[in-house]
Amino acid sequence: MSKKTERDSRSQRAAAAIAEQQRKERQRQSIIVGAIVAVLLVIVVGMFMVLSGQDTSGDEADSVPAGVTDDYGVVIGEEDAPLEVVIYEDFQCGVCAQFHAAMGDQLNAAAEDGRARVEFRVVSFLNDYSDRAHNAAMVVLDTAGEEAFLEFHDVLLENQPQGGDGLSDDQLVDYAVEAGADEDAVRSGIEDMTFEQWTVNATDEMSKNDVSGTPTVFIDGEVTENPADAVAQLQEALGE
Amino acid sequence: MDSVKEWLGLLARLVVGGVWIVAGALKFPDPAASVRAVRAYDLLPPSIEPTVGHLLPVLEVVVGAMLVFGLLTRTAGAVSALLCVAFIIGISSAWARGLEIDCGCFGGGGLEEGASSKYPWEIARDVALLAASLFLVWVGRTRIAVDNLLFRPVPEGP
Repeated sequence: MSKKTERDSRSQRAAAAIAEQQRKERQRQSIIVGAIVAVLLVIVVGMFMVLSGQDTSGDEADSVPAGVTDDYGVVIGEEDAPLEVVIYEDFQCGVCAQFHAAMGDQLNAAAEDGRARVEFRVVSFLNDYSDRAHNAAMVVLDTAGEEAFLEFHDVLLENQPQGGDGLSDDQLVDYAVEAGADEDAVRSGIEDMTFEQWTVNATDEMSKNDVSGTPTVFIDGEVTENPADAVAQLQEALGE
Repeated sequence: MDSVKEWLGLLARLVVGGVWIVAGALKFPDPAASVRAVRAYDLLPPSIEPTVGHLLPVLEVVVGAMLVFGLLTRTAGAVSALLCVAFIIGISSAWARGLEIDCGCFGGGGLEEGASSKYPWEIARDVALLAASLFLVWVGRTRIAVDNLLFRPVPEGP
């Protein structure tokens, strides 16, 4: 064997050894990548299932308040009144309280004398008090009817807490009694959140109806641009 | 120069990863709100909105953690870039359609008075995150990363 061929074959062997080493390293790396991807997938699927499980939106509510519409609303006034108003609102929503202060009395009067059908679609997404107040309003409706509901609804918006924990259950019960409900009838429902699942579904339904915030006011089926626009249109429609 | 790129890569990983972890974690306590935030954009078929609403926070946290730890950096950077592109499209489209919604980027979501004035800044932020993510896809190797422990550089041929 000449010197040259000997050198060639030695470098060939070295190259083959390196190639083998690279192949093994690549194989090791693909196994690691595969294992990491598998673990990450398990984590993603697991966390996804936890989140989906926590979200009860749309689960069947075992208690439905008496006197609500299929659209999770409460109607005051005559069904066939000439003007139809639908209001989405949250008891913790500041602009909802302002809208109520601006239009509440006129709307209540218009509903009373047959000029308007007003549907309140209460929702709750701002905080824990939203949920509790929403449930309490449905307990009042369920046990004492629409007039008491309306009274309670107005009182809650007129005495809206500034965030924080909101009104206590005792305070809600007191307002319910003032609105005409019976304390023994409402206390357990308010404390035990009887209609909680129903209120969750009501809020989910709002977003399915392409309403993404409160207050949102529909007049004769048409959505208004903003609360100020709603007030202007309603005042015109009610001739004031 | 390589060393500068690798340190910049570490910085990009920590910033982008940190933002994803915060954005995702803030959505965990209220998955229903995340679904409503997705619905407010009115872009996806209704049937998949709940799935997307529940999946997004998970992807954000996982991609964020991958970036912070430097685990499969290149892949994590690519997923991060895709998410940024999706959000840029979402916010631009909300802007173009005149929707006034909170972007829901860090929890929340839904109607917000004057929300459109924030769109330019939100898009700018997402473009910056997109650029940092693409930088990571490009450099791949960064300093202080789990990747460096798992993957030795393959020896070069002679």
